[in-house]
Amino acid sequence: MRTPSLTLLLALGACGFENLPDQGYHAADLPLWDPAVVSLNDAVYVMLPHSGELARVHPTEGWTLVDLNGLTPSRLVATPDREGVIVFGSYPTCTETDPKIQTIQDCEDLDGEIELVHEVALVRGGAVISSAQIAAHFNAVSFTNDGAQAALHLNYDSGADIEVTGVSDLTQVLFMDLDSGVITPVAVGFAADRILFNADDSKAVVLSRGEVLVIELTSGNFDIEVRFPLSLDVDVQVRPRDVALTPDGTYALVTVTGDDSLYVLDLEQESINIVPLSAAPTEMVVDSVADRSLFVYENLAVVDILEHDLFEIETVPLDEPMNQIQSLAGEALLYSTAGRKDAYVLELGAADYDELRLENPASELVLSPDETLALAITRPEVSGSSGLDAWYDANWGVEIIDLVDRENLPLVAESEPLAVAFTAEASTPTALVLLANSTDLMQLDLARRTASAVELEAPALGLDRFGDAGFVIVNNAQFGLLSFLDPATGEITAVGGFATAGILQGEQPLPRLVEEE
Amino acid sequence: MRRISVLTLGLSTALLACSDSNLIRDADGAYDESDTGASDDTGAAGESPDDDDDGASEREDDFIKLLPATTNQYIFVVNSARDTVSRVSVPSLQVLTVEVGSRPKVVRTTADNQRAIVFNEGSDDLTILNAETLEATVVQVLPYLNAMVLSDDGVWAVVYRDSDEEDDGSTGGAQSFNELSIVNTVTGDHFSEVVGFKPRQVKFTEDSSRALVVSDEYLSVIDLSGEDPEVQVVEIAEDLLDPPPAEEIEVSPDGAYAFLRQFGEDSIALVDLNTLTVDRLPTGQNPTDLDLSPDGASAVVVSRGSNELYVFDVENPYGDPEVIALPSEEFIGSVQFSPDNTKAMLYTTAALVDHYTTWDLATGELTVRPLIKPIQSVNVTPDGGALVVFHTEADAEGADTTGEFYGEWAMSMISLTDFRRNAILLSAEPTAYADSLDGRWGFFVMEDKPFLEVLDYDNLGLTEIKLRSNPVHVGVLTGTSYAYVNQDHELGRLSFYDPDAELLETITGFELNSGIEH
Repeated sequence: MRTPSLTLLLALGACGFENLPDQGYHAADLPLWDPAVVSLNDAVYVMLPHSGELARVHPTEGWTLVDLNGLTPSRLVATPDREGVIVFGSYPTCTETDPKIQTIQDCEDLDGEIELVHEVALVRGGAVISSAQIAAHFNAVSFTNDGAQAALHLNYDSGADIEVTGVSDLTQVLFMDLDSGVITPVAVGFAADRILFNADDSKAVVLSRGEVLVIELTSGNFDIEVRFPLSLDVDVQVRPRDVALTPDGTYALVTVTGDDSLYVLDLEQESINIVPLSAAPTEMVVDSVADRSLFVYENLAVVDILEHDLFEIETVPLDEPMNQIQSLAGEALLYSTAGRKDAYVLELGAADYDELRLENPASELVLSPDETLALAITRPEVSGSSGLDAWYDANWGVEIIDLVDRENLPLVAESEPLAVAFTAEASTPTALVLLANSTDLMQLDLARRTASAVELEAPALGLDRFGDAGFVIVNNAQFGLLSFLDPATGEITAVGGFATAGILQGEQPLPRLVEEE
Repeated sequence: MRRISVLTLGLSTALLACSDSNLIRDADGAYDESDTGASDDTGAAGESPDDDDDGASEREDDFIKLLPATTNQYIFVVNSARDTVSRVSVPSLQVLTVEVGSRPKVVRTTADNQRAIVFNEGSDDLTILNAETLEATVVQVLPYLNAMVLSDDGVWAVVYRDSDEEDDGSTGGAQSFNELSIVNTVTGDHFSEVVGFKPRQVKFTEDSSRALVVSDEYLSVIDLSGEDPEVQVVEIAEDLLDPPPAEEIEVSPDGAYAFLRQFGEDSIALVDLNTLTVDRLPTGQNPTDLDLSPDGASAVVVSRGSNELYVFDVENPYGDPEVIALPSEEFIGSVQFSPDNTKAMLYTTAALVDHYTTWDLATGELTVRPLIKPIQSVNVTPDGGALVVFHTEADAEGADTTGEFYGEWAMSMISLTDFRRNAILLSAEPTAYADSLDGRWGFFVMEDKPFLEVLDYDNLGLTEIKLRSNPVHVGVLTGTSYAYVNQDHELGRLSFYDPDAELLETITGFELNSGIEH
C-alpha cells in the first residue's frame, strides 16, 4: 500500500502572531495521514503522523479525534472482535523539571533533553479504556482466541526497526487484559517473537531463541508450565520459525529456520519428538477437518502431509514447488508467490490433487467466504511467447478459480490490482477489485462473469471490510479520504479532510506535564 | 573326508558382547592365541576332526545386548554422553529423561518390572530408578569396576571388574582386581567383597540365594540369603600357578551343583555348592560347549576333539555319563537345545562348515543337514518352531564361487518341523537380533543399513521395514511382539514396530527431554 507523500506549503494565516514560525512557510516532514487504517465495527481509525493524532472516521458521524492524552500513535492493531484497537505510541518528556518548561522548545532552551516515553493504549468506542508504559521494542501483538487477552512481544523479523531506549529487556512478553487493560510482564526466553494460544485459551505457547515455553493462563499468575529446549548444545542455535497447534491442542508443531526438522511438542505429556520433513518448509498449515498438517517448500516440488496420530509423513510430488497454502477444510489450495504458475487443489485424506495452471504468476490470493471460489491477483512476467500470450504476460490480471469445478478464468487488468475482496451477502458471488491509479472500483459478478464499475472520488490505495457487510476504501487524497461502500446498493459515502486536524502546529507542548507534577 | 576351514577370529565385537560368550572372548571378540594355545595351523583348512583339536573357541549366539532394558511397558535407554536415562512408555511413546551418574554404561530392569538399575562407570555408582515414578536412589560402589549383573529376582546387583572388558583408561591410585561390589537394590545397602583374581563371569542360582563369581583359579560362592553377603572360595584349578581360563559355568536348577568348563581341559569341574567340594568329570578331548537341557535334567558337554557328546544327569552328576558318538566326518563344537526339549542343534562356529546336525532327543537320532554357508550364530525361536542361522561372510572350502551367496552375508530360517528353509542374501553384516516371546516373529538389523528386517516364523517369510536412520540395536518389549529399534541420531531415535498391525512409529530427539524444565 502506498503512502501519500506530501510536502505541504501551509498558509500561516491561522497562526497567532506570537506563534509564528521563523519562516513564512512550514514543510511537513511527516505524512499528514497513514493509509494503513484500522477498520473496526464502530468506525475506521487513522493515524495522523504529522499532527500526532488519531482520527476516528465514521460514514455518517464524520470524523473526530481520539483523546490519547498526548500519545502520538505509531502502530495500530485491531482486536479480534473488531471492537477495539491497540495503539502503540510515545509522548515526549523533558529531563528538566523546571515549572517554566511547557513545550519542547522550553525544554531545549533550558538545557533539558527530550525523552520519549512509550505507551500502549486500548481504545474502544473512540475512547481510551486503559494505557500502560512499555519498552520501546514491543512491536507485535498476539491475541487469545476469545479476544480477551493480548500478548505484546517483539517481532525481530523487522530487526532494523527495533527501537531501544536505554537498556531493553528482550526476554519479556506483556500479557494485557483487554477488558481491564491490566498488563502483566512475564519473563520468557530471549527474543520471544511468536505466541500462540491453545483452543480454550488456557495456555500460551511462546517461541523464543532455542526454546519453546508453555505459559498457563487460567490462574492469572502466568506461570511457566514447561520449557522445551530445541537443542542441548549451546553452540547449536535453533531458531523457531513457525508454530501451530494440532486441532485437539495436544501437540505444538514447531518449524525451525533452515532445518528440515519439525519439532512435535506434546503439551500434555511434556515430551519432544522430531519428525524429519522433506526440507525446511516455507509454509505450514494445520487442517482441523482432516486432522493433518501440510508443509510446502520454496525449492522442492512436493507437499508433505503429516497425520497427527503416528506423526507419519506422506510426501506428494508436485510439478512445481509451492510456497503458499490456503486451507479448505479437508482440502487445500496450494499456490506460489515465487513466480510459479501451477496451483493445486489437494485432497488431504486421499493425498490426491487436481492441478490448475494460472496464466501469470500469482502475487496474492483471496478465498470466498464459502470457500468455493478464489481470486488470484497475477502479475506481469517476462514472456518467451508472442502475440496474445506475450501481451497477457505483460499485464496485471485477476484470475477467478472455481474450487468446485476445479477450473480457472484469467482476466486482464488495466493496472495493478491493489486489493480484491468478496462481498458477503450478494445474491450472486461478487468480488471487488481495486486498481491502481483508477477511480473505478470494479465489481465482478462471478456467476455471470461480468464486470461493472463504481466511481470513486479519488484513486484507491486500499480496501477493508467495515461493519457487518460493508467496505471501506482508502483513497489517495492529500487531506485524507475514506469511501464507505454498501455493496448491496452500490452507494458510496465519502468522508475526507480528517488529515487537516492539527495541521497547523505552533510550539509542541509537553503533553503530560500536569501528571508529572 | 570333509575338509574344513577354521573361521578367522577377527570378528565383529557387535556379535560378541553377550552373556555366555563373555567367558570366551577377548576385546577383539576372539581368543588371543597365547591364551588358548591355538597354533596357526590348528583346525586349518583340510584338518579333520580326528586331528588334535585345541583350536579356536566356539562362540555362542551372540548379538549385542549392552543396550536398552525393558519392562512390559517401558524401555530404558542409556545415553552415556549426556549422563541420562530416557524412559519410553509403550504404546503412548511418552518419553521422560532423568539424569543419572557420570557415564552410565548399562541399565537393567528387575523381573518384577518395578526398578531399573543403572551402572554409572564414570561416577562409580548405581542409580536405582523406580520404574514408575523415576525416583532415584544412588548407591556408591567401588572404583575401577566395569560390569554389572542383576539377580533373577532383581534384588541383588553385583558390580565387578570384568577382565574381558576393555579398560576405560581410568587411572588413579591403588587398584584391586579382586574386589567387587554387591548392592541390595531394594534397601540400597552396599557390600564390598574380595573374590578370585580377575573375575570372568558372575552367575546367580535360580532362586537368587547365591552368586557365583568365576575366575581362573577360584569359584567364589556368595551367600545372599543372610543379612550380609558371605563369601566362600573354592579352588577350581588343579594347577594354581598356571590355571586354565575358565570359560563357562552352568548351575543346576536346584542350586546344588555348578558345572564349570575350562579351556584345554579334558574334563569339567563339578562344584557341590552345598559342601563346596570340587570333583572333575572326564569329558573326552577339548570340551568346547557346556549347556543344560531346557528341562534342567541334563548337562551336555560337546567334546569337539573326540567328536562326542557327554550327557550328565544333573541330579546325579557323579554317575556315568551317556557318551554319544557324533558323525565321524563332522566338526562339532556347540550345542543348542530347542526350548521344547525335543531336539538340539549341533554345529560349529569355529570353522567354516556349511552344515549342522540335528539331535532328536527322544530317539537319539543324529542327522546331518546342509546350509548355504558356514555358521556365525544359531538361534532357536522361543517356541522351538524354527531355527535362525546367521552365516559368515566367508565361505566353506569348495563352495561354488559363482553362487548367489558366495562372499556375501546371509541368513537362513529353517523350520524345525519339516526342516524346509528360506535362505536370504544380506547386503551387510547383521548386528542385532531379537525374537518375540511367542515365537511368531523375529527381527534383525544390519550394519549401516536403515532397515528393520521382520521374520515371520509361521511362513518363514521376510518383510523389510524402512527406518529413518541406521539402526544400532533391535529388541522386543518384554512379553510382547512389539519390536523397538534404537537408531543413530545425535538427539536419540527409537522406532517401534507392531508386526501384527504392521505399524511403525518413530520418535526422534528424545534426548531433548532431559532439557525440559517442568
